[in-house]
Amino acid sequence: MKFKGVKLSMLLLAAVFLLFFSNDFGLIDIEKTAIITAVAIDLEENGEYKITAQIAVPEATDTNTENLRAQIAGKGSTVGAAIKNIGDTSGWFPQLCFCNLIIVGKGFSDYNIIKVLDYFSKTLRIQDSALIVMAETDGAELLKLSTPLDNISSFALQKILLKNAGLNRDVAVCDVKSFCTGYYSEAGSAYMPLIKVVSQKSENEKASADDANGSESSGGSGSAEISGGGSSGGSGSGGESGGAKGDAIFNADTTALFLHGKKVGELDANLTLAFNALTRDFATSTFEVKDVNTGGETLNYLLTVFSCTASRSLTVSENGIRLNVSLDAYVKISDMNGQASDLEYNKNLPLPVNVKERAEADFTERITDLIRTEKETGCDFLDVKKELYRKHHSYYYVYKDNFIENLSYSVSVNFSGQK
Amino acid sequence: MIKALKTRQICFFYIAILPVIKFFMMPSLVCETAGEDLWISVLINCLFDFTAIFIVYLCLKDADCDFFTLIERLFGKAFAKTVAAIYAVFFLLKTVMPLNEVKDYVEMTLYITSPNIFTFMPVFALVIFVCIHHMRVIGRIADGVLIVALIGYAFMFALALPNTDFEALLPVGARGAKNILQGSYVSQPWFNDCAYFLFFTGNHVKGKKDGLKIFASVAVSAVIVIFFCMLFYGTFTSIAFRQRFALTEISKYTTVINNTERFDYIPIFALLFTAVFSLALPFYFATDLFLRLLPVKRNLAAIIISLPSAILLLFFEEYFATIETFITQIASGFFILFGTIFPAVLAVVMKIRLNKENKLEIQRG
Amino acid sequence: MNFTESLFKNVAALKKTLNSDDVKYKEIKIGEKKGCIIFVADLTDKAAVGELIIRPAASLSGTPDETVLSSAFLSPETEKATTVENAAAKIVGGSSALLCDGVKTALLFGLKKFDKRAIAEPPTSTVIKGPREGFVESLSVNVSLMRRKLVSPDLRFKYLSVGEFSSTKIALCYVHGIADEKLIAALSEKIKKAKIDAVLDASYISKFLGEHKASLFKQIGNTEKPDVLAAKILEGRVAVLVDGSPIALTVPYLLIEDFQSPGDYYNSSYSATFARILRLLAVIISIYLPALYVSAQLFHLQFIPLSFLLTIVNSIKGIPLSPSFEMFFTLLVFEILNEASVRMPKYVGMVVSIVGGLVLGETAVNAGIISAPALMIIALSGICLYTVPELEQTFSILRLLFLVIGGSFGAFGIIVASGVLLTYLVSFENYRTPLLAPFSPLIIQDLKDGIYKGFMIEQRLRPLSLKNANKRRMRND
Repeated sequence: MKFKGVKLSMLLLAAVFLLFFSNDFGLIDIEKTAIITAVAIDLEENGEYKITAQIAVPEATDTNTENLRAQIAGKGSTVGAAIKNIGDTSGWFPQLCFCNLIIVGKGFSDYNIIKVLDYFSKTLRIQDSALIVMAETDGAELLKLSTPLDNISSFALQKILLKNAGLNRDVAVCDVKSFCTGYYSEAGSAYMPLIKVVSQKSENEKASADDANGSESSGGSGSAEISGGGSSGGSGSGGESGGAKGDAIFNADTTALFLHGKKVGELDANLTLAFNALTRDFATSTFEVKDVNTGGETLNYLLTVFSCTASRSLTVSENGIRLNVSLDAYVKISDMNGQASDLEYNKNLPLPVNVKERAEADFTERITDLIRTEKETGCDFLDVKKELYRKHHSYYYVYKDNFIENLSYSVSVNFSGQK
Repeated sequence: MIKALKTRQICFFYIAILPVIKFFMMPSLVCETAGEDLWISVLINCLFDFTAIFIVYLCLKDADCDFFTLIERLFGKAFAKTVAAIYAVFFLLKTVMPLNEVKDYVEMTLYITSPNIFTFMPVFALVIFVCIHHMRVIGRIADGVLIVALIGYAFMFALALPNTDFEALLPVGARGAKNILQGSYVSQPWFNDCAYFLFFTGNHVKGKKDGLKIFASVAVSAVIVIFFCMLFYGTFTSIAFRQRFALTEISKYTTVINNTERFDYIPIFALLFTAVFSLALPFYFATDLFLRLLPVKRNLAAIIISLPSAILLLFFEEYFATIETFITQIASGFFILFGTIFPAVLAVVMKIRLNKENKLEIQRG
Repeated sequence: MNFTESLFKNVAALKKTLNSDDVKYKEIKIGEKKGCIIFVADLTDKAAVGELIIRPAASLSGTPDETVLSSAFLSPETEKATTVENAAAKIVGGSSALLCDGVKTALLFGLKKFDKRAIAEPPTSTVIKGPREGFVESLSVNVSLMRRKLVSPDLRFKYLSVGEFSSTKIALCYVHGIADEKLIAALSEKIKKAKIDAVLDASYISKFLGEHKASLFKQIGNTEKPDVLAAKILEGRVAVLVDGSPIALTVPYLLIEDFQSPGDYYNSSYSATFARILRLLAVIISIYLPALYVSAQLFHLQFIPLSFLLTIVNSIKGIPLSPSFEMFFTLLVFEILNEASVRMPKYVGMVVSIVGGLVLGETAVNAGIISAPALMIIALSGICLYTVPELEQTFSILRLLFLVIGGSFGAFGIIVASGVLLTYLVSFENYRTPLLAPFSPLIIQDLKDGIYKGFMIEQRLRPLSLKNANKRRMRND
């Protein structure tokens, strides 16, 4: 490098230093940023959207850092406007990149939900890998709940959803991308978990807990609400260390089904499990087989799935579409509510025939119900139309509008395993 | 004559530097028309590139200087200058879409708080710095960048693979030839990589099986791009056409992210590091051609060449949609003509001339 | 000025030239003639002068002429000087001169004796296994150390002298048949052209040897260990030994050299490779971590895992400095402490590190001037930098540059700056050797001793990155 070059470099460096020390290009201070961990969307009576965002507020003590929570809300005629409203009224810059959970309130049951979710799919401010659930109550109510699992209810909810994604398959987990992919697919069908709140407390305690959950300011739970709609709501004890843990836990094993964005039905816990067995890796899951006649005694068994192969294939002809579903699982009895002999404990005996038959019949029934639900609701969560488009394209245009009517099915379930 | 490049470096250039720039907007743009057949559209473009490189290599493999110098020798200065001017414009046009899309990508996905005019402009420091160096440095950059690019590809593909539904690419060809070809046409600005090869031919140290190595690297480059497009469509299926920034999108659905947050930024950064060189190289070649037209100092030429693009980015951002339409709809023809057809045809003509010259020399004894 | 036949005039002329009190003039008898011995008292072995010059001179008879004189003395190193200037230069260099009445030349005897530092392990390059001897300030000792390492007639030394006032002796050291002759010629030329008052250390000469005068990066290698130098010249490098300096310079220089510790060659390949990977990672962390931390805080919160982000938000509450200024300030304090601890006497230095590291850091965090994560990042970055001590200065400047760029332009700025750095490094050549070889240009053969340290038996060839005359270094299978 010549010395002239060095002089030029020095000048450039001086300019960069100047930029460095005066770097206020409208930067948003990290302390003024609201780190949103979850949002709940509710439909107001006037047709506006109300977005309640749960923000994480770190609070240090001498020994550890506990995360408290606070809610800020905003309203608007579009989702984007409502989020903007949060920033406008609270003074915080809503940072959505950490938002991993979107809760859709019950008000959207009869509404084309894609009008809401499209924003999250298109914007780059939020990850479209964020989980999406529908609440049985208002979405905001779900965020206000205090749970024994985590101070921040959205974290608790995520734990339930992700644990189920990793171990037990009793929740049909869905993220924004998957929902939108389903919506924009040939069948226009999608699903998401339906969240129910279960209280753990006794009746007496439950009454007081209900009061706390229902009130706007839940001081005891360490939450604060700032209404983004203009007026500042009651603020809770945001500074309270840790916050008292409440009693609410979540149940997510029901699945809401959507056709062209509108909710058309639900899968109960049994059907959600069967749906997951057909569509996801089912190994490590457990399920119950009830009322098995064992030596004249009626027992319940808990089976753990070691491996599972499920397949769905279509046979398409001029006569119609036949969905062939088969499920082969290798299971082991984890528990039973009867007494096994010492001899049985020490031997790797094959799965008893009565348990096997009961389990197979049980699962065949569940899968049959699943297909029946698909036919009843029209929501193609089993991806029949997608399969038709991809693998039987020549028949796609024949059946694309009436594939449900022309759908017949066969189910084959085979369980093997050991005691 | 000392050759600027090694054959290996040309291969690395095709494998490491050229594919990355096709990972931003191109896949979604092709998806708009070709849908699940996007990979066929991309394959068609890759085959065109491969064929053009194949012809140019075979015709000019014995030449001892690059394409443009050879044109001057065989067809005279006036023709050579005209060709140089056309290709200078070609390379400048080739920078427009990538610059704009990477700028958008950087500002919209990386800078979530406050992108400003200073965010992307430093890229021109690199562009000018690369432009002022000798061709030898381009080869060495390819050497240096290869490992970063390979890490980026490996990481990104590994993260994206578990969430990819390859069956989404079915049925093959259902979109029809018209849509597939339309997909090929609109993606022309990202292809036509034979134009780069015009600088390499005759400018590399000759060794054993050079042709095979170069063709293999062009094929590997094509495989990387096609595989990326497949992963992209397999990840997004019906909403693929809405995903403008494929690079950030495809790897973020892995379960690893749940535990480590945005772990996928490692491959993104690795590939972005490679992409900035992809952005700089068309400028480098445009500068080289500019110097054939006007013998000014290389530093000055680099600044003159970079200036229009910088102005375009700074002051004409709101016209990006119009520019995109112009480049992908109208200028695509220009890209096919001068990126594929013209080099191949001219290489054949040059080969015939060279053969004639050789025969004459032999006759003269 | 030439010597004359008059002893009186010759001595007078020398006295005029060497007008210094430490130069001694001893009149003696040489047979029947008068003579004078001139020497610098503190540089000369006086006992040897008495035994090897004065005693044989006194035992001579008659009037010995120049021919008799030249064979009369027992000193093994004898030279002649015909001019006063030449003789004076030799005398101040430690030789003893003998002038004899009626003789027009001065006889010069190499009977130097002065105190030298003992051979010891160099503090900058300690090893757990391997030789512990290091070069000293005496060129002759250093040459002897090299001769003991490489007992071969092909080990050659080429002596040059530089410095108008210091006349410093410089030795080019190389292995004939391996080193590139063109490189030796180029180095000789550059050293001869160096017009400088004095060469007080090898680093003075290294400034003349580098081809890029304003480069931030090192262009000349150096070592204080004879075993390392022997290995380097056996790879085809040429060494420059400077009298008065314990540092040997080596040319050409590759950046990878400083990632290779001498200990790597005395340990197993596995541990050496692991150590090299660690060094590389440490350097990357050291340069990039502060910059990435600041840019993530300013521009890209999404890079930071949520739990860590909450910790940061918590720790920066009430800190009056912006993230960029906070990091810059912390880095500045670190560099000041570093500079102070190096300059201060050892025992004070320890106090400085304790006060600086523990008290100042802890108090600054408690006082809310800087945050704990910022302090931790600078501390980690500082420690990481010392895994490659030879490049510490270069990398600490780079760290500062990247911090400023990261704070001004964010992560994309860092990526672009890395691109500029890579382009600069790949374009950087010294003596036709690329700095970044064997990585760029890629030389696969040399990767066996790059970041990966191959087994000794694998390294049959000398590095192809260097231009050496003989490529093969191992012939066994």
